This record gives sequence, C-alpha cells and structure tokens, in this order.
Amino acid sequence: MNASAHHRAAGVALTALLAAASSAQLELSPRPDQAALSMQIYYGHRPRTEAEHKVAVWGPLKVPSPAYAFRAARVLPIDGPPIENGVVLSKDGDLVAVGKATEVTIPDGYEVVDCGDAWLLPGFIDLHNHISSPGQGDINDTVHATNPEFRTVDLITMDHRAMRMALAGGVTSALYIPGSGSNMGGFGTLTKTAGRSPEEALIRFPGSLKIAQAGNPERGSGDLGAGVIGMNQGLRFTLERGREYYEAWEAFDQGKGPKPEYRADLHYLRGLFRHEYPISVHTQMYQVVLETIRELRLEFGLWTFVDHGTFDAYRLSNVAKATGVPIAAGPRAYYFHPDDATFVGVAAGWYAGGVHGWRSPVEGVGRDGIAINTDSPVVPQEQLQLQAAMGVRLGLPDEVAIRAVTINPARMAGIDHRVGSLLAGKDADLVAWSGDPIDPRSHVRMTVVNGRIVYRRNPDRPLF
Amino acid sequence: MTRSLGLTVILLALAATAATQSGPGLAIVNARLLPISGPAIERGTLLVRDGRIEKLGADVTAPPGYRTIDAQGGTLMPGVVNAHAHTGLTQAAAPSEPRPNRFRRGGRRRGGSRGGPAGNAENKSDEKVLDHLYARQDVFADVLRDGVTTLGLAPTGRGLPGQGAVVRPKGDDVKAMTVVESAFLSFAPIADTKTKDLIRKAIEDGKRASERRKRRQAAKEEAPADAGEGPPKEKPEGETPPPDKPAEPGKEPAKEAPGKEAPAGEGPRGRGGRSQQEPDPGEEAMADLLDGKTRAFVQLDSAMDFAHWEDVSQDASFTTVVVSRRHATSGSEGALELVLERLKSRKCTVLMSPDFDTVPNTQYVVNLAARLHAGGIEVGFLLPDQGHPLRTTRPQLIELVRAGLPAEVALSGITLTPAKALGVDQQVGSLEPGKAANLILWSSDPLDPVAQLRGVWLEGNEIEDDAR
Amino acid sequence: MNLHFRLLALVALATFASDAAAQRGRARGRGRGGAPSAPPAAPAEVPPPAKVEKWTAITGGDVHIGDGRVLRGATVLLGDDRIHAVGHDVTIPEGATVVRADGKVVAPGYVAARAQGLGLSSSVTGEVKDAINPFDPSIKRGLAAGITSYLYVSGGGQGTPSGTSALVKLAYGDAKSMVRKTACSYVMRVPLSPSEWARLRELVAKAKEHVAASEASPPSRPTAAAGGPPASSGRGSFGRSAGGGSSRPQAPAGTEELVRILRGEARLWVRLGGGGGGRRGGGGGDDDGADDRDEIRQACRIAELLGTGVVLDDPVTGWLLADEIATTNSMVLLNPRRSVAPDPTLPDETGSNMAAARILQEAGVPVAVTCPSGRFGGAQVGTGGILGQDLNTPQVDAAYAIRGGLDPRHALATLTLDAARLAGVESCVGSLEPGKDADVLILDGDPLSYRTFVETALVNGKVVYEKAKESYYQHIRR
Repeated sequence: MNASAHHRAAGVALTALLAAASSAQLELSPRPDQAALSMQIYYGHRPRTEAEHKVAVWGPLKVPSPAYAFRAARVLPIDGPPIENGVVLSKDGDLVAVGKATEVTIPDGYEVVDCGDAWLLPGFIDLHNHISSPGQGDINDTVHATNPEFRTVDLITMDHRAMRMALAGGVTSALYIPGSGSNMGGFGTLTKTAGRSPEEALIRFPGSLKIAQAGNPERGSGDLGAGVIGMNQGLRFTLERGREYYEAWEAFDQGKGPKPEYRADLHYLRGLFRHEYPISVHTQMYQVVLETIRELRLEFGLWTFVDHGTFDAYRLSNVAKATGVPIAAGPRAYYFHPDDATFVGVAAGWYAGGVHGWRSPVEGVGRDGIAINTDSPVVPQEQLQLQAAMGVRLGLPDEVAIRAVTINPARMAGIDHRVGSLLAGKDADLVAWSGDPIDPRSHVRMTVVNGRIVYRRNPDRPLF
Repeated sequence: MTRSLGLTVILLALAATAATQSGPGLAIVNARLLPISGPAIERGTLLVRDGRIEKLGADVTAPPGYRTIDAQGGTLMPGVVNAHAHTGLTQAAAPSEPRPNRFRRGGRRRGGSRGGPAGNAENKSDEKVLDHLYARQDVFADVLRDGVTTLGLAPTGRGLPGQGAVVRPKGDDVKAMTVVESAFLSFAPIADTKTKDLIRKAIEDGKRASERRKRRQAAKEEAPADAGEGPPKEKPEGETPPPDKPAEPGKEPAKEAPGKEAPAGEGPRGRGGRSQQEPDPGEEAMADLLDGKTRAFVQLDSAMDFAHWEDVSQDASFTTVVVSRRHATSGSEGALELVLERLKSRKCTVLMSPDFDTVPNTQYVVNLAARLHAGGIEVGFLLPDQGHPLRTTRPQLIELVRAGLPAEVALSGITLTPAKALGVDQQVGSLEPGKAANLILWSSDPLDPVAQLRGVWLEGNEIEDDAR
Repeated sequence: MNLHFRLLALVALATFASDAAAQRGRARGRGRGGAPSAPPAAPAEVPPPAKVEKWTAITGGDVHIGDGRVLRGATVLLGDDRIHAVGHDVTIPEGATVVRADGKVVAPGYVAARAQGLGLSSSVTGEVKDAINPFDPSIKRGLAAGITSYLYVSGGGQGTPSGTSALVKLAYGDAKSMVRKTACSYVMRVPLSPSEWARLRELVAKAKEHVAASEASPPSRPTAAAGGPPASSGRGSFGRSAGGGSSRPQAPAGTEELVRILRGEARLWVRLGGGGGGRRGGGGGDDDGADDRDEIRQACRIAELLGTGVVLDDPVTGWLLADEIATTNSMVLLNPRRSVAPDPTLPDETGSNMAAARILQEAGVPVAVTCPSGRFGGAQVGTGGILGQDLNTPQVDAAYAIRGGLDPRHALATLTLDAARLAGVESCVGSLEPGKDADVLILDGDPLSYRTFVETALVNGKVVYEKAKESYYQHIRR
C-alpha cells in the first residue's frame, strides 16, 4: 500500500463516519432572498447541495441535543430585525423556532433556559485562526514551495485551550488554517469550537485552501519563489496541475476518459476546481491583493476570499465588489497611512470605499462583503469581539461589525445554510451576552454549540 | 657668456609671468556677474589685481596690460565656502553618515551612539584643528578644482571637539593654507547627562576665565604706569579688518589665537595642577567665545537637539551657528522648524545639508531650508568633505529651489552666508572690490541643470583642471 | 562558624526591626481601597500659588474626578499648570480662557504605569531629563490615547532595589516641564536566594537605622519632593533633581534607594519570576508562570520587612493571595485579559482569573491596569496596526477589568488615581483635585467605551493635543 492509498483510506474512514449525516439536501447560497445583498459573492459553479460535494466532507447534522427554550430580553437573529423578549427553540442540534415570547409557543418537553436581560446572538465565526495548533503557533511547515498536500483536519483536538477560550469569547465556528510558511500552506478545516469529537465538531473539510501571497512566505518558499514574482508563478504552476487533475476526473465522471490515478497532493485541488470550497488568501497591500483577484479569481475562476486585506489594500474595495471577492479583515485593525499619518480603519475602508489619494471615489464592498478575524494566536482567540470593537472604533457601523463576525463570514465560507444567523433549521449555535456584544465590557454568560450548552460563566473565576 | 645670457632670459621670463599675476592683473569680460551681495550684472567685466577683486560692473573696461579672458556670456560667481568640513584631517575618521532606513522613514536614528568617532564626550576646547592638518593632500586640489575656495575646518568628536579654522585649499604648509587659525569653537552635544554636564562645566569655566580677564584688564587700566610693555594688543579672532583697509588674503600671516601664549594640549588636562597665573588654553578659548571674539558651531539636527543645547547654554550669550548634517534622518526628534522662534531669538544661522526632510511616520516631503528661510532664519548649506563637493551639491540645490527655496538663498547659502558664519565675509563670499578673487565661472546660470564649470580662480590664480 | 553565628544575629535583628516598622505602618491605617500610607498628600505641602498668570476654565462637562466621583455639568478651573477648583459653583475669574465641554466628558489624564517610547529610549544612561525627546511623535499618539503622564523605569536589580525612574509628563515640545519627578520608583526581582535575603535584611536594617537617626534631628524638608511647580532648579536645567535635599545626611552606601522607599518618597516595584523565563503575552493555552504564588509571597515578605507596601508587577495568582497582598499594603499592576491556564500538575488552584481585578480591589488592594506585552502588543503607542493590544487604547484594559467583574465606577481609577498610586506620584497626578497638575482630558463619550476618543488633552494646563488638529484620528467622525 503506497502513501497515497493510505491517505485515501484515511479520507474514506472520515467520510464513512459522517456518511449518515451528510446526506442533507439543504440548498446552499446563493439563495433567492440574497439578491438584495450589498455584494454578490462569487461561488463559481458550486454544487447546489451538500450531498453533491464529491471531495469536501461535511460534518454531521442533527447532532443529538436536549430540547431547550432560551428566553432573553433581546434576540439578534442577524438575518432579521432584533426581537425584544424573544424565545429561541432548539432540539437535536438545530434551531426549531426564533421569535417573540408572545408569539412562539414552547412545546412540551422543552427545558426553559432563562437568560434574563441577556442579548442572544448566533455564535461568532472566525475565518482565520490556528485554533488547535500544537504549541499555539501557526503551522508553517514548508516541504515544497507549495504544499497542497497539507491539511489541518488531522490536528484538531477539542480540549485545546484555545477552543475553550473561544467558547468564553462567544466564538463557535472557526476556520483553522495552516500558516503562511509557504505559498500554499495546505487545506484548512471549518470546525465548531465544541463537540464530543473532532468529527462531531466538523463543519466542512476542506474549509478552504490556504494560499499566502506576499508578506510572509518569502521567508522560506524553497528554491522557486522566494520573491513575489516567483511566488505568483509557483502558485500558477501548482494550480494548473490541480486543474488538469480536476479535468481528468470530470472527464472520467462523464465517461469521457480513463479513471485517473489518485494523487494525494492534488486530490483537494480537484474539489477546489469543483468550487466546493474557497481559497482563503493571506494577501495584503494594494498590489498583492490586486494580483490575488487577477490570478485566483479571474484567471483560474476560483471561489476566493481575501484574508487580512490589510495595509492599503482597501483601496481595491470596488474591484473586490465587482469580482465577488469578499474580505476577512484582520488582525490589523488599521493602516497607519504614510501619506498623512492617519489611522485608517481597515474594515471601515473596505466597507465604505472612498477617495484614496490619487483615485476617484471608489465603492465599498458594503455591509455584506466584510468579515473580521483574529489570526489567533496573534490576537487571542477569545478577543474576536475586541477585533470587531476596534473596527467600530475606526469607523465601521455597529450593525456591520456584528455581521462581520456572524453571517458575513458564514457566507464567505459557504456555510451560511448552517451557521451565522438565528434561523429555524440552522445549527443551534447561540451565545448569551451580558450586554452589547461588541463592547469588551460585556461578557459571555453562556455558549451553546449544536444545541448543547457547552460553556457557562463562573462569575468567581470566569475564563474570559 | 652665452650661458649667462640664457639664464637672464629665463629670469626675465619668470619676472614677466609674475607680473601678469601681481602686476596689472586680469580682466574677465563678457560675463554675467553674480555678486551675491547685490543684483546680477547681466553683461559685465571683473578686474582682478594682486589676488583681489579690483572692480566689477557693466561699464568697467579692461585697462591696458590686463590679461583678458572672454567669459563668452558665462556666469561668474564667488568661490564656494564650505563652512563645516573635515577635509584632509588626520584626526579620527570623519563621522559616518547614518544609513537611511528604507522601511522606516523618519524613524528614530538614535541607537545609543550618534555617528562620529566612538567613545565618550571630551572637552578638547584647547585643541586646534590645524594641529591635525597636513597640507599637501590631493583632496584639497580635488575640492578646489570643483569650486570650493574656502573651507571651515572642523574638528571631529563629541562634546567639545576643539577649535575650528578657516583655510584655503591650497598651500605648501599649514601656515600657507591658514586664513583664520581659530575661527570657531565646535560643539557636538547629545542628549546625555555626561555630555551635557561636560559642556555646562566648560561654559562655567569659560565664564570664570572671562571674569579673570576682565579683572586683569581693569587692574591694568587702573595702574597704567605699572604696565611697562602696555596692554597686549589682542587681535581678536573673527574680527574682520575694516573695509577701507582690507586684509591681504595672499600674504596675510596666520592670525594669532588669543590663547596662543599658553602651550596647547600639553598632557592630560590637569587643571588643578596648573598655576593660577597660567591661563588654561581651553578655558581661554571658551572665554573668547563668551566675549564675542569667536563663535560656536553647534551640531544640532533636530528640535530635540536644540532643546538640549538651550538647556546647557541657557544664559550664555554668544553667536551660535547651527550645523545640521543629519536633519533629514532626525524626523522623530522634531524638525528644527519646530523651534524656529527660539532659533530666531538667538539669531542662529543654520548651516545644513541640502536635503529634503520627511514628516515623521509619513512620506510628506518638507523643504526645511525654504521653511527656515521663510521663517526669517539665515540658511547656508554644507557640502561633502571630499570628492566633488559642488558637483554633488548643485543638483540638490536645484531641487530645493524647484521646491520653493529662492535661488538667491541657494547661491548665497554656499558663498556669503557660510562666509558670514565663519566671520570671513569681509574677505570672501561675494564679488566686491577688495575681496579675494575667489571666482567660479559657469557656462550658464549655476542653477541651470546643464551648466558646466568653466573655470575656478583662487585669489586670482586660475586652477587648472584637465577634465574641463 | 563564627561568621554563621553573626549572620544569624543580623537576621534576627533585621526581623525585629521590620516587625516594628510593619506595626507602625499598620497603625497608621489604610486609606480608601487600602491605599498605602506612602507619600503624604500634596495640598498641605504645596506652597500657596504665586499670582496665577493664566486661568483656564473647562465648563459644562460631566467631570470624572478619577476616584469614582462624577460631577455632571461641572466646571474645572485651572490656574496656570495646576488644578485650582472643581465643582458646580466655581467662579470663573475674568480673562480666563473658557473651554466649553457641554455634552462631553472631562477626565483626569491617564497615568501609564508601564510604557515605552514616549520620548525616551529604553535605557537611559545618566539623568532622564538629559535624554528626553520632547518632539517624539509617539508623545502625540500617547496623548491621543489619553495618556498625559507615565512612569519611566529602566534597569532594576535582582536582590536589591535599583533602576532609573521618572514621572514623565507628555508636555509635547516643552522639555523643561516633562520630567515631573525622578527616582520615584525602584525595581527588584524575586525570588531571592537565601544569601540575597540576608543581604537585603542587612541593608534594610541599615537604612532603617539611618531613617530613624535623621528623623530624630529633622532636616528642613525640601519642597521639591512634594512636587513644586515645574520651575527650573539651581543649575537652570530641565525639571528637578531627585527629592533628596542636600541638607540631609548621606545614606549609608547601598541603601539610598531603600531609604527613599522607607521614607515614602519612592515605590518599590517587585518583578515576579526572577530570570524572566518565558512569560509570553496574550494567547490562551499558555500555562507558563501559572503558579507564581511563591514569588508573590516573597514580595509580601519584602513589604513586611520594609514596613511599606510594594507594587507587584502583573502577578498571575495574585487573586489567590489578595488578603496577603492587602495586609502588606501592597498594590498590583494587572493585565486583566492575560489568560494563563492552571498548572495541571498541581493539586491546588493556580493560573489566572479574569476576576482578579475585582477580587483584589475588594480586598483593598489598589489595582492599575496595563496592556498585554509581547510581539504584537506591548507597552508602546505603536503604529503597527493591531489595535487594542497596545497603549493606543488604554480604556480597553480597564474594560476587561470590568468584564471580569470590577465595579465600573471604580474602573477609571485603574487608569488614573490608582495608577498614580502605584507609580508613587498620586500627590501630583491621577485625579482632578485642587493642587494637582492640570492634566485634563475632554472626551467625546464614556471614558471606558471602546469607541470614545480624546478630543482635547491638556498637560500642565496647556492644550497639547486636539483631535481636530492632529492627523491621527481627525477623519473619524460620528
């Protein structure tokens, strides 16, 4: 048995484990009601349902959980107006109903959890972290100039301290990606931050392909591509091989060619070209982000989002919007502008667009095109809320800041049919906040993941 | 007989050559004259006699017997004065320029030690830079060929590095090169207690020396009968001869420094061991400064530097010339512009490298020279010590002018302003009758980017340059 | 043998002396929140102000005094560089400059108990005043963050207090008034070895002897120690020199710092963790230094030995020993959000507690807050982009103390009055009380909100920062 066969066996085992769960026929984005969004994310020809995914593995649905009726003074469903005196029903991992206390009848068998004056929100989503890394670091292994054979899914452990801290910080979903040691660091995993096993916590693997353009991988990308010019070509080279592999499989599936030989290093690139998951691109600065959009989004036609998007890259907000490439901004909250010594808010810049020096005014990506991340452990995982607060401090509207840690990252990662807002049928990931969820003075009283209460704050010794 | 006749012929020929230099002289005609001290004369003639400018103007004609040079419409201006240079010094190596940080514009430059010779600040106010000078060096010919006809030679070091001199970049020995032996006292203060205390103490010592001097003077005046030889005729440094009796640049003997009677730089500075009567040359040099006989050349690159300089020199009133070679890399310490009012109230001249500054943490370019000038400060420029000082500096000046510095300030900034700063503006720095015939001739306006250097004269002698 | 015996005797002697002093310390009692009996309050010592040249009145704002009190719509009257009066019925003298702050919040300038940069390099040789850069752009950014003064500390000893310190005012451009106090804090590290303990006891005994002797024949107390106006001293140089007057007899060699600490003229900062072994800032999962109880206890023993409280620099388990810390009149600098996992190999509780600020303050320990240290944050007013992890937003650190349960009414003190206490400078800064330095902020909202900006900052009665005129945050309008 050679290495690739072994690799395939591991993948099969995971798939088998989840086989029962991933037969969902939920329609994925874009949905009809999303026509009014401020920007349309480009998803390519992604499969319509989870079941149609051939490479990606989806985590379980309907995870067994008690039936709860959460009551709170204020419920922010995100995909709908705020509800005063609301009730949220959950059972078997899913949300059953969300509405006013006066309108939602609590069925028999539901345990009432009174959250008092708390604000009830969907759990936060962080699209850039290293939440389960041994030693709390990035994972910067660099074997080749590009490393599409790497994956974080094998590293997840649910009792990692960053996971527990995430719950105390209200973060329930995370895209755990490799570091930017090489141009292509490997495939990240979308995982819940609580679960009885990594398999149960899984949302989707691969969550994304991690690509790092300029700004880090220069430190060790091998012989080919220690500089920007070579790195761009190195990426192109690898992606072209991935596309050939994908095309060979498509031909086979359509009965037009022989069965290709399984290639562990190209297997997940096939899913990338099937648009089953996006590329999250560590990219920053105007020129580099422009190259990201040009090469990955336009040349290869891939579903892409910008990760970091820092420094002066926000000047490309109109280009990002036109090409459907959204932004997961952070961990830097501002760009100290060398032209005039101003603290320019990165998220606010992407959101609002504006006049940037020599340019005519450009359009912003609007309220739906921006997410905020921690790059934990750069900013500790539990401080995602602070990242949003700092976005607000520098000009992002509150409402957009909340979306930037809930529904927006869910849409960008293609998991908004499961998480990101309080909508019946979605996963029961809930957080009860003591007050304004963007204010660092507010704390998490309780966190619910897949319908189970996984964190309650001990006031004598709160984790966070 | 024949042999003797031949010798006579040669002697006569030599005499004739000498006559063209010191006799009837030289006329440069058909030139655009830039006197610096006054408006340009579009088509004029300049007469040189005995190494000095005799006359200049549009209606001046070359007297018979004068050697005539046709400037062909070129521009004639005074030779360049580089007022703070370490050219040809055998002292410790000249300070190295800080390496500009590509990533942090205007970032903090201070890393414990400022450029310049390593080691601690020292009080070497008794040391003369001329003691470190060796005359016959190619570097002097180099800078002279390039148009630098006067040099302010400054000692290097931290704290009080010593006394600076004014020299001409030509001469067989130090004496022949010397214009002023002790023209200024150098200060290289830094923000550090040791250095500041050193300077404070030196100023206090100087004050006491000055008091002693005044008491001696008063005592002598009270009892003139007692003074058999009369009061010593002090010829103070920097004091220039009256215009009607111009100095003799060519033959002028090296002036005596006021403290010259005392042996200079003998052994370690054991001031306590010195007898009461024997004045300390370092203290005397400081007293000269306090008494207004010389001036202070203070290396200050930023508002911060100036604040600390004011702290150590507060109540001392003497002429301060700010020497700023590294202002462009001192952004985070505040541009000198921030202390403009203080500079003005202390009547400081600023001699600076002709660089642009950037506002710290930004890419905003600032023409510090233009701003200081607009604020009422007299601004002069420093040139490189060696190589091709003028060839290097001229494009920088052109850029400063393009960015708003008045052209006349740029040109005065390398001639008359530094001459004034050195206290030799009665001898050099402009085209005026009686001044040394230090001249440079350009093919067109000196701030025209394509102008070529056509000729250089030092005290009436044309400097050869094969490259021209 | 003989030597050993002598050593024992010395130790016994020192212990006795320390007990006596400790009792005296306790007898003097503790002020609000267990404030140590250190420097006497300012007003009594401030010479009556000479004629005021410039009056400035800040009117109409909600005035946070800094000790928890808030006066709505009150006036703060500044006479030159001092606060003259605060209240609702303050008469504004004729010719006063009136700054309207209606609808705004007026607060004391923040005192950064741990800061870097801000006009000084990390290691000053010689005196602080001679190294200051009054034009450092980070001073403006510090003012934009609300910081008007900070405790500069460099150096520090292992077994005995040492180091260079100063209270530096962010009086941008005015080098003369930037150094407000010097030698107001010393630093030492624990744990100490047995021989270091013996040496310390010996020195403390000597220092106490000296203090007792000099108290018997009281010298004229120099006014500068209490903080006279920032006028120049004899030599005509920046700031003033250390409080020790020349009329005092010289302290025995090696005890100068201890004598100043014993007299309440300086604070002793105790750094925990000796060799500084791997204290990484920030992230969860970090159980380095999870158990620093021994270091904290050693610090408390030093406080007992001295008979005066010390400052504990960011203890992890201080919340477990709050009463012990309070008993010794000690104080705590805390990074409230620092999360350190308990040591899994120990049976008892270790590690950090988000509620530490509340627990300590309830026990009577003054607490000041500081920002995370480390690669992406640090005690600087940086421009690197990661906001909320450095000194650009001091209110975030106080916010996390509130998140951990600290009463919001007492939270501002962690940036103002208690921070000044820790630095040993509460006689001149930290609250809006008559006689103190006129360091005032005008804010566009709640001081502890993440969205609040400094609109105007005054240091020594002069406007040194205006949001509308400086580039940094000018463009952010709500």
